[in-house]
Amino acid sequence: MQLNSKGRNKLNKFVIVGGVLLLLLLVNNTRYSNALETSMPKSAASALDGIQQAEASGAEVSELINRFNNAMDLLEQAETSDFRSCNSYDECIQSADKMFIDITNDAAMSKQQTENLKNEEVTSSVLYAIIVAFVISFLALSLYRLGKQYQMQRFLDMEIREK
Amino acid sequence: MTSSSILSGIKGIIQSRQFVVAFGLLAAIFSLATYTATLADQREEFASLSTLGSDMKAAGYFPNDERTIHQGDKMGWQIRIHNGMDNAEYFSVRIKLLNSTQIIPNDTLNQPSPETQILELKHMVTKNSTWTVPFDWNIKQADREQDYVIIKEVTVNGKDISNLNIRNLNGQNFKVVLELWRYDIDANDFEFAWTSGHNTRSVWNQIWFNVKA
Repeated sequence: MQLNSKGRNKLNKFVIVGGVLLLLLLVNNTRYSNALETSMPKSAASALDGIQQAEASGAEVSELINRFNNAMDLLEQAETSDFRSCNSYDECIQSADKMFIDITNDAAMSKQQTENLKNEEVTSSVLYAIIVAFVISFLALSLYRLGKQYQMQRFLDMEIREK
Repeated sequence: MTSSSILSGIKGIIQSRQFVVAFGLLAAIFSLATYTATLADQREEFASLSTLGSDMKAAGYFPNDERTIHQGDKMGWQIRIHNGMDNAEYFSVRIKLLNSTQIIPNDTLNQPSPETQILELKHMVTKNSTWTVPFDWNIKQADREQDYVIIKEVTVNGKDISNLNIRNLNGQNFKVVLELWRYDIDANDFEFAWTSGHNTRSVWNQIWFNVKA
């Protein structure tokens, strides 16, 4: 099937418009700036989620939070081109990304350790509760029986006297 | 008393029905108490935002305590955010400069002001802790056009924010509005209102001032 000149022109325009759209899409995907205005990159969201989960499990997270704020500051530097602790957009983004990954891993580890510790604490507490219950029951029953035995002995040792 | 008689006495106690009942009851009570002690306290979640003057008091917002300010007058405020939520939260404080006719946040509908912020401050705050951030600002350029005073440029925390066009009749009743936003991981975005128990809550402050140009 052959295209006439009109059809070829249309196809050319379509290819050019499509190409420009594709290029725009690629440029947008390689930069964080748009997403940063309201949402945050995936790695940052994972770090935030990790910190919240670690804290919910009872872990101490203030150090992780400091690191998270520092990493967010790097993203802001990249976004505003106000480079104070990194030298270029890419360097800021890469450093922040690495920090977020480290925070996510450390938060997961911290959560795991806290949960293990908590489980151990609960197990030992329940064990202590059972041991204490055993000792109290045993002592109470022993005292009760000794008391009864003493009363019985007293009764048996009684003498009947005539007035 | 021989050791065998002691042993048989102990055995007799342990094998008795009374011991089994007492031990079972006490073990259940103590275990329940231990488990209850490990449960977290249920309390109402909240977050608060307060804007304080230079002396960390709810006063002294403007030079000489005059609500009417001039170009170049320096304001040194402190913004305090307390995280009373159950978890560490990533907060954003959005600062907006409005005239008297622009829409402020709606408490009933828990909606933010639709106007654009001049500055956004973001920070993650540990639970039960407070983040204090300075908010130093001044009007760098304010022009008078007939009966209107127009704020065109402000400096906030050392940064110039230009291309503003906030006008008010005779320079009266400008507002600095501060909104507290909280990051919602599920929505992957900041949200102005959040639910606490059965209620929806939002937090914001506003401070009025006049400008003489």
